[in-house]
Amino acid sequence: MLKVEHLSVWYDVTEVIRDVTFEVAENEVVALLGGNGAGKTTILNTLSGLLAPRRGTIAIDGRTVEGWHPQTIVKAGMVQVPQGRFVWPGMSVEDNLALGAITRPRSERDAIAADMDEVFDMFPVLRERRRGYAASLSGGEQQMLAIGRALMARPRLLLMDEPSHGLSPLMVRQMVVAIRRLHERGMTILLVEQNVGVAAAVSKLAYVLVNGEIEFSTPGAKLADNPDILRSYLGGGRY
Amino acid sequence: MRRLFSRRNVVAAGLVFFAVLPFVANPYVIFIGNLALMYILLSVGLNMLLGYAGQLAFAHAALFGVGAYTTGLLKLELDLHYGLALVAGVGLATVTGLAVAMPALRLRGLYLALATVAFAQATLWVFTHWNSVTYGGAGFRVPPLDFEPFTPRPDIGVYALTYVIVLASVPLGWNLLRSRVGRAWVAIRESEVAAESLGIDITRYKAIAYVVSAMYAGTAGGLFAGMLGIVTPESFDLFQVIVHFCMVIVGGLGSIWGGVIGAVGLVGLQEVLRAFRHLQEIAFGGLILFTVLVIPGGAVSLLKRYLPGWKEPLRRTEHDE
Repeated sequence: MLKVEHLSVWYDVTEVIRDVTFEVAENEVVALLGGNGAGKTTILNTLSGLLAPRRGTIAIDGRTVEGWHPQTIVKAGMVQVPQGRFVWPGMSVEDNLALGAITRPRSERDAIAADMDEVFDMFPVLRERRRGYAASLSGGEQQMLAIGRALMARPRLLLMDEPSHGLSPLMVRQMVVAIRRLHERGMTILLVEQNVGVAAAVSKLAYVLVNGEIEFSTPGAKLADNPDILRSYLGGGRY
Repeated sequence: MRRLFSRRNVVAAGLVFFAVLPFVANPYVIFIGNLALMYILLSVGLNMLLGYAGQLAFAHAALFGVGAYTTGLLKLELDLHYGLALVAGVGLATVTGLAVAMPALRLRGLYLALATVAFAQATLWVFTHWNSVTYGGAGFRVPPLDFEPFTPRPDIGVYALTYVIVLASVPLGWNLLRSRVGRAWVAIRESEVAAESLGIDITRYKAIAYVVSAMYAGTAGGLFAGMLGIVTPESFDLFQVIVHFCMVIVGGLGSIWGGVIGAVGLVGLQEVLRAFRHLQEIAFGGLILFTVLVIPGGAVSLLKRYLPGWKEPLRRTEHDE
């Protein structure tokens, strides 16, 4: 579904992503692992159209999308859940979710309302707090809101940027459950993580990124079997 | 007691007050009331651009001037019906707002501020020096308006028209802010990158903010020309920019009701200090400083904190309770 080939991204005179190639097949969860500064978020921002690659191709279902406007990429079905669970704190939960559907035509009003209901079914705590300000939600609830907001765009491919970052172990477990549930519903997910445990728990395949280059790839299940290999620089536990 | 000052009651009292005013007050008080209504339009429009969309733009007074000059000149030179001249004034101000938006969309922060100040000064220069069209520094008188058969008094006619326009424009702004446009503005103000990652078309929504704000400024300008009966460049100088910013900041950035409160309050203060123009500048500057330092959410943040019903759907979290 997503095919990235020989991607190279520069910040001014520095090449931060070097010749990165990977694939995400339909209805698969693929993890992109790496430490701080490895280039994970840069890759996601490039896929979302927020950064322009200097070289390489990005294709969704065979259509190359590099250079596309972010709005067009969202319409094509690839939506990012940004790092730090960015939500708009001064807006209500409902308004935050409605923003997720902003690229959809107004004529889909009923479908948008139905999708919001589906998000509430998936994350019942959001239904309870639907009229409350997003600022009043806990970190885990804000992460759920960020995911729900992305779902409102009806994506086929979700780009999740460190969804476990800054969450308590209990909330991380809930997040793993949520990602599994999304996968069961047929969602394709590219998961960027530092937490090996989370990646191992949900991903079929994991790519390990070091200094802007893909060092190696391995089945997700094997990450859990060999945590000591990566723990030294990625950290994390089992979930 | 707190319920007495709920938003619904205060707004209802305000509506009644402004509706009754022309029947009970002398012409001077009617003029002040009209000024307050007109500034509500200006303030609400500027708040959309500055407070909601987060664009630090200083072109508002110039667009206010474009509306006033266009309306006044069409009435003077072509003897056009005031209503038509007003519509033309709003139209030209809106088109000018869009023209300002085109380069401004690429700029942010200080650069946007500098570019729009330059535009404001250039517009003022045109008002002052294009003698053959604008009548230069002395300005021109707008021919008396005719509101027959509704009323024989032009001041009451302009007042009633302003009242009706405010009655339509404030709820229009309120509804716009509750729509996807308002949400997009706030999303852009808080984080352009996050907004863009969701697929929000930043250029489009910023352009809408400039155009809507220009429409409000142009409308206020056209009403100002009709109300005052004279159009001079000094009504649209840098001091006006300070007055407009003061209304929005003191009332409450990012709040429709803040804009309304700021406009009414500042017109009152302006009247108290009318005999001391040099003090007005000091007072307004001091008021902006005081608000920014002590109550950054403006007067409306105090109402939101202590009184029921003043909460708004899209708040500025760093300022409000």
